[in-house]
Amino acid sequence: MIARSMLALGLMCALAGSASAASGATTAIDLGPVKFYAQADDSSLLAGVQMFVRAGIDRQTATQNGLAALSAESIVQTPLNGVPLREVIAAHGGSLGYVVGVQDVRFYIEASPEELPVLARLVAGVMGAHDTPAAAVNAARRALSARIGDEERNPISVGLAMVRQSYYTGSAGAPLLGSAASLANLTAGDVNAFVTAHYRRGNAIVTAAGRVTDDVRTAAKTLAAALPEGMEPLSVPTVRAFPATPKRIVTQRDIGVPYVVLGFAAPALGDRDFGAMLVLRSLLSSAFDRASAVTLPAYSRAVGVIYNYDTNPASLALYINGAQLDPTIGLRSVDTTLHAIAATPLQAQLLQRYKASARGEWSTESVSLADRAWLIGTFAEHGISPDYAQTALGAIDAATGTDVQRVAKAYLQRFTVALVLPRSAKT
Amino acid sequence: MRGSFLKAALCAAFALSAVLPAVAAPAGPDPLLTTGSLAGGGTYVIRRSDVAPVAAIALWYRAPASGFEAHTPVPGIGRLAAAAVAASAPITGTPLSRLISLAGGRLAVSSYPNSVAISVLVPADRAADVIRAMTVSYFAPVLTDAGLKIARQDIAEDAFFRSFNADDAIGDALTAALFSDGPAHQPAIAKPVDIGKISMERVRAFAERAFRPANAVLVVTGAVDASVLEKAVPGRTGAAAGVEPPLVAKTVAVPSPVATSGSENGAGFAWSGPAITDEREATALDFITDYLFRADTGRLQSVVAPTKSSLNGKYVTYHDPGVLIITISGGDVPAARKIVADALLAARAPMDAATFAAARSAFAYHILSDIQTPGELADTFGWYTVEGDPEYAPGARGLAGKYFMAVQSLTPEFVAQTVGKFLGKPGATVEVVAKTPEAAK
Repeated sequence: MIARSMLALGLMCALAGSASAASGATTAIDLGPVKFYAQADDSSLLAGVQMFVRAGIDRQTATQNGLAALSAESIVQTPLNGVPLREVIAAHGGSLGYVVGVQDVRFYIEASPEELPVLARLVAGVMGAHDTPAAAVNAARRALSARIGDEERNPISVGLAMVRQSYYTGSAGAPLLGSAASLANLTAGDVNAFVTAHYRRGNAIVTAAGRVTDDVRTAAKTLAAALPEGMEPLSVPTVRAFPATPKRIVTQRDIGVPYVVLGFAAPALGDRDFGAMLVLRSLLSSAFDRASAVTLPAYSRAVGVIYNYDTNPASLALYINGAQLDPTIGLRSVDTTLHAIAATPLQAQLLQRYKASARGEWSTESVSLADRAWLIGTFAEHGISPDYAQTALGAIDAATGTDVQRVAKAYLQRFTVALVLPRSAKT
Repeated sequence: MRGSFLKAALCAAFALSAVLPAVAAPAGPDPLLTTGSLAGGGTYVIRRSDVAPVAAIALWYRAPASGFEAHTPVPGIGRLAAAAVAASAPITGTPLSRLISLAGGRLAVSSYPNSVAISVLVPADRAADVIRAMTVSYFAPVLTDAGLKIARQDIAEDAFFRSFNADDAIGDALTAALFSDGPAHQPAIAKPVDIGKISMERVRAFAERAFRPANAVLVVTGAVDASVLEKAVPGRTGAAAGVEPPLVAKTVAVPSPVATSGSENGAGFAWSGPAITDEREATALDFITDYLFRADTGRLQSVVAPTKSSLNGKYVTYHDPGVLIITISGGDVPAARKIVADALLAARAPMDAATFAAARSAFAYHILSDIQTPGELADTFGWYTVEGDPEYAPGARGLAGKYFMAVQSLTPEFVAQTVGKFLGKPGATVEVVAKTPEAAK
């Protein structure tokens, strides 16, 4: 195989014009109580199926920190004839993963279309059993603790968790994976009770991307049928208002350079300001970088922006990389820029420039089957068209200079500051 | 446990027949693939992929990463030259790097011992304009002082961060020991302090020879058709014709063990392997490294985990020979090293049928998963074309192509025999001792 380092370029880590062909539109298929959306393309050799279950961290109580993640990880660790489900799926030529969010947990299976019905039956069997053994929960706890350790060494992850905890109230602000201490107190009984209570068919969503054949539709039906009937009520996390003077939170980690993470409120998907915020994201993420020959990797970028539009209420985080920009100077520069954007509408030429880059960034950032399946479901969850590309690009096109100014005023003047410092640094 | 896994694996073995063709596929064109010659003499590969409304455009060149002058190698000149062209303003218009940034796209420059690649990902409706800009920039390269300065800064910064990556340092030391000369003998990138010493004259000379139209492989993948090529320019008049010949690296018969110091304790092993055209053997080594070392799923990853060492292993399919390379860094290196050595010894005996079937099924999926995006496809087609066997590129003719037919042809006995053949001979070994006691912990 080729030198895989190449594939980690920047091309990894999703418009059609005269020379381009139309990419597959998203179609809705009736699976009874479960909504199923598929984006098919015959040039793919694989297909991915994703199921969104309303069992995110907002379903946890104050004493259940980490239970949503432990439940999901326990499912993939559940043994079938002694072999963890994830390994059984791998031995069949596929993969199984999950992501825990504030409002949902998403399970993703990827394989050749012909294999997906078999894999879906295996996953559905485990998910529907509500009988996770203690050994699987123990294995899940170990796996999650290792991931928590990795995230603790990533200053951006640490800062994002800090601003999220400061923004959302209650369990929605808890760490997505919990903590080693909180996981230690959770039992197999807790996991089974959580799954029984919250893994419901009523408002689950199943999505698929890639080579979507009858086999893939069968797999989607099988997954949907794994969940018992019932409707998990929708919840809207509550948030804290930002004070006029930014709240400052400081922590220290075993990292090499300081990072500053600013947390803002942001318009949710479907909000009329969504497109203008995408333009602002593009502006802010490029305004502080030096001239470069290539697209800079994260460690070389002075400032990065992460727009968490998949949660409602949404948020936006801006981080300053202390290796590239002195944190004090960077914070002042960002503050000045935010005030300037809010003071006057963008000139037409600048607006066109940032709209073009916003379109490109949106189109190229979610290309894999997993990302596409995620975007389809995320848009559907928010009650807007699952043809996410058209929706987002239309929103960018519609944004005016006045919109950008108004959104900067409404959302980007108040924020929380999280400082993530090396342990040796003086605060 | 074993019996249960056997059951699962047998299911997987059955499943593989649904994924891979059971018999040799009839020769025939790939309806998604178009290849041909560029007006200036290079070649193009267009692979349609409707996965997303984007296009990946890559220019690949067969060119030694350390320059054409073998007696005075300049580590990193290939990458520096490609980056400098991207950052230089052409006589009229905008630097390529700026154009891609304004389009919200991504641009990367990569170099390998035998090749240099410039890769771009943009919305599909920008593909034709970007093809024009890339062919204008590289087929008649313009280099400015400002562009070279920016490129130097990019590469010096990358080299600085790379210096903290123990695996990269071990990899460089291994190939330096394994090969007696040529670009693989040189480090992939110069030290930051040396990058500034590469003169404009040498960069320009390299760019004009390496990036000439006749030496180009233009790969376009994504939601585009062949009409996008109409915007490609033929290139400059007077450029040399023909493609650079393949580079055949000379190996050291019995490499001497290397002891060095680094940012943390580490170790590495490397062996030369089959040429890219020895497709079945090359695939067998791809398979065994996937089975043992792949991140997350490799069998040894969970075994090594208690040692806290980072373990990487891969087979790199160069023109001739390829290289199997394994690096261990951090943690209890001696313990991890013993685990790896024992596993490699065991791999010289055939796996049991059920384990093999499950591993092969997983391997086929991993390859398919690794070529699912337009960017990944462009990398794959570019690499295999430049290294001399484009038909063997995973993804060429889908599951009926040469790569997946080779996967299908593997047997436990053949894999064991191939491991014994190549890993049974002397390889390169590297031992790294941390520079500071703190790093050794």
